Amino acid sequence: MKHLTRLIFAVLLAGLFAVLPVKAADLQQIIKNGVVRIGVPIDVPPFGSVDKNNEAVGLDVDMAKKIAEALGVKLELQQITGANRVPYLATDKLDIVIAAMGATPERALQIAFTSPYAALSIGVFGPDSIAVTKPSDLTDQTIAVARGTTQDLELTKAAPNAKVIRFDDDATAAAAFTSGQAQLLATADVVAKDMMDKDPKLQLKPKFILQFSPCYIGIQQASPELLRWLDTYIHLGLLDGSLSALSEKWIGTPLPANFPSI
Amino acid sequence: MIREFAGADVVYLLLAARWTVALAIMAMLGGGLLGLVIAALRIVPFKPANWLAILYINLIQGTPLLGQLFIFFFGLPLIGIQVDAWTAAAISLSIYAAAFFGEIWRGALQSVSIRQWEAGASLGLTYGQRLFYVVLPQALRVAVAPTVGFLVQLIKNTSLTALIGFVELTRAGQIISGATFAPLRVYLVVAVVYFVICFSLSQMSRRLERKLHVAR
Repeated sequence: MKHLTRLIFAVLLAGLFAVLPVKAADLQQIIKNGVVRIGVPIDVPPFGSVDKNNEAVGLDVDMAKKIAEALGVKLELQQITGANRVPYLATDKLDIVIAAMGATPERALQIAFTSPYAALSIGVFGPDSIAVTKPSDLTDQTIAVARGTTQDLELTKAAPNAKVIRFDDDATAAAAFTSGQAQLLATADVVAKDMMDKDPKLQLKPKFILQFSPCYIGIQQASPELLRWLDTYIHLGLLDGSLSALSEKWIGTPLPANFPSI
Repeated sequence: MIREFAGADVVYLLLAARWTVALAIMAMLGGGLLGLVIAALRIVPFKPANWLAILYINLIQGTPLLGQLFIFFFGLPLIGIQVDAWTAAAISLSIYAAAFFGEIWRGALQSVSIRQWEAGASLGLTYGQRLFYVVLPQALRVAVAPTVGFLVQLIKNTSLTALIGFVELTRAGQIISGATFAPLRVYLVVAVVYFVICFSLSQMSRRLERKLHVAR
């Protein structure tokens, strides 16, 4: 029922967007305003979470700070969820969303994606007792994953017949695995490693890795100058190694040498 | 990266609960005022007013609060009206609560026997006098329990405002759970805080009911 109503409103809203295009804040407008409004997740570690002092920290938060600094404007940080990040952009409540977002052709109809700024090494993890070595081995095992994340998109693409249970966030998906509601867990390898470090009894052995899932920055459509600026910024960050250093800081591995661009 | 669920996080949850309470109070006040109007429109002996109230009640009760929040926060900007999250939450929670309060209070007013109206009329009281001095005091007694029952629902429904950016109790729980990967413990604390808020409200309602029944 909840899903049905969500769907109905998604369709309603998509219809509204179609008839009433919102005037996007392009690069010049942001500079004139002196403020850039960026949305980041705070429930998706290592991209965004809250530290002991309840400050937002993470790769996406650092990225937002660096972008505001490079633009020379004030940063207005807004915490977002998976459900509202696209509406926030589409109704001009945010200029930029940096939320470990995977790109799909459907999503690209509503918002514009820049070149990827980071990549996630996503894997399916589980105990030794489950013999799975590649996506096509997934048949009747249940896999927990956080809904709408890069890992969800990649897993769905790699194993369309797998029994995937989708949860609101990584933590809930992980809880489904630890409580036995799901037999396997699909998540970032850094998350699986961290969980095992915290609880040595946990059996989260890598079954297979869906290498290399790029994350993109999303912006409003019809802001070509901002898109061009961000692409240039990311391109330069890849050249001077600063984006790779950012990945190493938060995810533990540098970016691969042949990192793609849009 | 994943940190322990610590005492500071409980404080964070308690601070976030202030939003839950603030949103509920605001919905109670806004919804209460508008609900009085709806209840009045629903019972006055004037058909078009009744129809208007019935239309309003059916429209609001028949659509999900999540959708109403969505429309007010993300829909209004599309027709050129910028609203902030607080305004959108205030408007939609009040409108939502009013539809339920209106029906609850209409029921309470109509539960007072028609003879009471007639008795008032035979004493030469006007319609307003009969409503305020004869019927309302008796309806109030009936209304307390269902009103508080709905308020308890409303407190829990404020969690839906996370969609439009509020970090209230439930959303704060999600955030802490995301940082600590200890959802069981986090949501247990969240549940306890909700219970304390709702239980104290129920207790207050019980006390109020006893007070109002003093005449019997």
